[in-house]
Amino acid sequence: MHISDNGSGELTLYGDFTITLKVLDLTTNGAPNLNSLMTFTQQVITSKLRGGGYKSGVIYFEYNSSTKSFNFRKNHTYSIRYNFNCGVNVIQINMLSQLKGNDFVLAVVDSIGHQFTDQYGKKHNSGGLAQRDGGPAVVSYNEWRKNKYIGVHEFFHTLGLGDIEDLSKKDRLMYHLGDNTSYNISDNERGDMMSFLMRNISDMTKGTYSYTNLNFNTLDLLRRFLKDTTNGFKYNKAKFR
Amino acid sequence: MVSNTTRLSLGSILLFMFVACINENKIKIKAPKKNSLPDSCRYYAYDAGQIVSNLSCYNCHIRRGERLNNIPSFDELAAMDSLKLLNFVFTKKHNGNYSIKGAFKTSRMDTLSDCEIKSAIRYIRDYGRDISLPSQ
Ligand SMILES: [Zn+2]
Repeated sequence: MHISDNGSGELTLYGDFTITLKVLDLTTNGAPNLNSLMTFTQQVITSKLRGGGYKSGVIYFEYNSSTKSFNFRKNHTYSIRYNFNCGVNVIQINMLSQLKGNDFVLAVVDSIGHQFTDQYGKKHNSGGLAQRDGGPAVVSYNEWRKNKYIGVHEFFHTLGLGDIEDLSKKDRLMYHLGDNTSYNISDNERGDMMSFLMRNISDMTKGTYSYTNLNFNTLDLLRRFLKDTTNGFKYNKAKFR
Repeated sequence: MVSNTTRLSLGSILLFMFVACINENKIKIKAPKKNSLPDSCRYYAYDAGQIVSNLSCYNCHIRRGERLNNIPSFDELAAMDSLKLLNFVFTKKHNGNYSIKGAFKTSRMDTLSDCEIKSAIRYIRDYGRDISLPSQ
């Protein structure tokens, strides 16, 4: 991990890190296509996070490249270029004990009863449901088979992105009304996910740092999320004890 | 609830902001000028998120956990009430740094309309709530 300052207001952040998304199959009858859906999801997440991200007009603390530290008494306006190589693992777990405090999780359920109303007043069923900014993500297995991108969409909520309902943006991955024309991620959204993953730029100047979820109680959050009756999850409860 | 002649100062907007958000019509128009709020100021979570993202609030207001340089974290902001947020974040504008004469006077923060400020405040407050994000 390192920071380079071009001297005229642009900081580039470099580094390699890997994130792991753990997939927990909670379906009643098993999910025969799970492996191929996971492979697809891993490929899409990898390609969408590639190419970094860019944010301009960022007011932060002044960076001193000779001491490689930030001066917390002085502010400076920067453009920030995220130049990370982000490796992505999507792996299946079979036991809850494999879920650590700050893991990313995607649970696969039989179905989701939750309905939502879009900004135009139209009602929709939910193929996936997630809590933003580090929260758990859940997909319905049948809906995931119909729309392979739902797993990525839900995971990107975990990485801090919101839903798009603007009908002129049907080509975006975060458009969530079902009639997508494509699945693009904007530079801004990529920058937001990078900013979520790194949390605190000044930590880059410290030696040890790992890029994980900012929650430290993934299992707890998932348990509460699954139990919340307004979400209407149907799943094999014997698999979640 | 919504009248065509409603003209509100920011202070009184906040008293009614949640009610107003529910009953408004669906056309999105930018606020015509400061200190007047169009009846059509409707809350769009994604757009409000973009305002917060473009201002790069998260760099200094770390989402949660240990504060950076003793700056309140984002979830601490979320726990403030709307009026306090307006005063703390938008009106006093970060100790004057974002004011007309301040160090960051060219920041986009000064160009936000009242409707955008109202939306950003709701977005910040929603951060503290567990809101499920669905997709079809
Ligand atoms: Zn969504």
